[in-house]
Amino acid sequence: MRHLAIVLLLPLALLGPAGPDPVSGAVPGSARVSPLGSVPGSIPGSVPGSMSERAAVPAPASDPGRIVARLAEPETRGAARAELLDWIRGLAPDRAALWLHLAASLDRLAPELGLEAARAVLRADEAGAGADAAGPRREAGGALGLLAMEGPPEEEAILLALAARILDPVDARGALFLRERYLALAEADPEGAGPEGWRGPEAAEVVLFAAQALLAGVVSSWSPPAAPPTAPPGAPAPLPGVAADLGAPADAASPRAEALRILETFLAQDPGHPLAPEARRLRTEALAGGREVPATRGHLR
Amino acid sequence: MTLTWNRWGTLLLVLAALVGAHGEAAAQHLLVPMDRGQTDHLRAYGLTYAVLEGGESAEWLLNFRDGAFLLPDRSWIRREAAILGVEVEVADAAEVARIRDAMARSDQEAVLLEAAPRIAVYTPPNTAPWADAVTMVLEYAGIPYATVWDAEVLEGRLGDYDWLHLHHEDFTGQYSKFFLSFAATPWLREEVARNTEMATRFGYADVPELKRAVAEGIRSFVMEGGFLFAMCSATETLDLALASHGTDITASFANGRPPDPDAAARMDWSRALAFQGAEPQLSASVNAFSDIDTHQVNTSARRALGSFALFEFSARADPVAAMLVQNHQAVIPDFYGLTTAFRAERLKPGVTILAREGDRVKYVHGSAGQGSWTFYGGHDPEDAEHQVGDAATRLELHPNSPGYRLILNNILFPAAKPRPLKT
Repeated sequence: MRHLAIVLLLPLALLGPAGPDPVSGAVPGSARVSPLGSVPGSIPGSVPGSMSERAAVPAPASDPGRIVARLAEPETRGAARAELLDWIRGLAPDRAALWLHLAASLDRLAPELGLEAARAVLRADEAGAGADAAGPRREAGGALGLLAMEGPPEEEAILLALAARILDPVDARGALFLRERYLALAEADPEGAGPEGWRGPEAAEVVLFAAQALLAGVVSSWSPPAAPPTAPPGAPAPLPGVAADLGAPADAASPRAEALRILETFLAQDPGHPLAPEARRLRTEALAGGREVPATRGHLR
Repeated sequence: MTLTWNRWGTLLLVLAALVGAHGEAAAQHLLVPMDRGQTDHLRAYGLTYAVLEGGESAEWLLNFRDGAFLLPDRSWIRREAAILGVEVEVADAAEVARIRDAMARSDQEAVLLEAAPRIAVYTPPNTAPWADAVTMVLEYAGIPYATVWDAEVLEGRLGDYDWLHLHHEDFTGQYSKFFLSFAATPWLREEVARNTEMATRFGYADVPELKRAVAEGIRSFVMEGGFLFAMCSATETLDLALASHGTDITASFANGRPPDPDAAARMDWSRALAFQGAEPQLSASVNAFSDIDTHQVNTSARRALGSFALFEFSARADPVAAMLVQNHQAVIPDFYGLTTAFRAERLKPGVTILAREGDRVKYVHGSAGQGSWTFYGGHDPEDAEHQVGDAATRLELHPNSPGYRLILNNILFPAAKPRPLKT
């Protein structure tokens, strides 16, 4: 349920506070959460899809394969992005999430990498999320992850996050591995991936999904470097918030401690982020040792 | 003299350190507004508590911006505020002086907060934190607490704490009369077994006797200087247990004997903290404890909920009461509990009424011996009709809850050092 909540929330955060206007095609965007950091305003402002261009675009294709194919050609690439947004609007939320993530990434990727990313998403989409999807999704996500690591640093962040999303339904460990790599690189060199660096619009989802996986006990093969202290000297030693008799505080090397650390780093950097409330909720869960909150024995009859 | 790189480097480092230190000192304070501009009122108390826990002091600006806090400006406090989502405003020395000047010209007062209170919650073992409003809000705000139960009280270990909250216990030993509706449920059977075992362990004949002894222990905690905060049925039943030491007000299912028909006349209200002259409810089939409660929620006499209004108090003349009512909302929707509110005529003289709706008093405070107590009727300020089995309230959906805020006013109360009144 929580996973679904994040799946539904994140694409909205990536795209901005509201979806495309059904009449004009305009997306009331927010520069704050726009994935198009260098182009303030709405997504169609940078994705050709405005009224003037839409007039030249043929009727929306219902075949995602055809849309992806059109992304390969320079002359149809812009129109294909607009078609993609139109097509996504007709999808169920759980299926739309991955495509929305792709749509939010395309504008920031070199065309050939964007095409590879789109092909990977297409393969994952065709595979679905059921038991039979594991092989194709692992293949698509893994290949995209490798491409990310081999590519230029400006695009590694974008591709790692997208590859992790592809793996999510079938390979929690693999997805966590990619996100831990993302977070480690981001911490090591925050400005190393271009103007948006590692703080692009996908950064929040990387933190939230990684924290969620760590709290759920997922163990990846990632070997993180030694964790920096969670607070500068002078802060009270234990993190406040752990009830004195509600379990031992998180061990510094434990997944719970790592979840706390990445959530707190994210919150300290961007306390007003639209996904900050979800990060705080996860932090509370981490402090409480991952307890689920059941129904209560209340007072009234 | 030629400066080598090492010397330049050292000089630059020193300069950087000085600039950094100056930057932290120049800002001087962080103001935590507690008016409607605050993003998370509840965690603002957690932030202030963390400051005290970190060895710093803070000030509580009573009646200024609905009870703002003034914290030292430290980088770790800024970071903590960001993590918690608490709105803070940097106040330089001039701004702080302006605030103090404005406060001096109105009925506002700064109260120094020094040490983080040591908090205990009286609650049965294995009770989940979400079963009780106080533990829920402590967890949400990130304020640490310990739990105690009958053994700790009877062994005299309450002295380890400054502040004690009573979980919604029935100190009359009648298990909140839940027998009427939940006799077959495992949780009630467990509760009976746990209490019976405790009575046997400490040599009491039955659970009502055990609970009366526990009530006496809690009373001693207050008399010796402790701060007691009780909600819901713990308010009413604590006093009923204390006052009934010479009689029997409990139904036969609790101790195997019928209650004393003249119990009301034999009550000794001198032992009680807040109430007097009440009529205990002796019928086993009426799910109420006495006529102290105004709403009688589980009876045919149930009254509808309204809204209660907080009284305003002078921060200078009455800083204690002023602390307890700091809020950004003066009128708060009421909420039921097994004890929802108190009949005004059942209050002892000298009890300070903090909030009421007509003859229904919701929130009271008083002193006893060296200590003090606060009673707050109702179960969950954000779930007005909480039923057995309902999902727990998610406080992340109520970060500005005025009803929960009243609980947290009490938490910081023991940390306060009110200035002596000028005479």
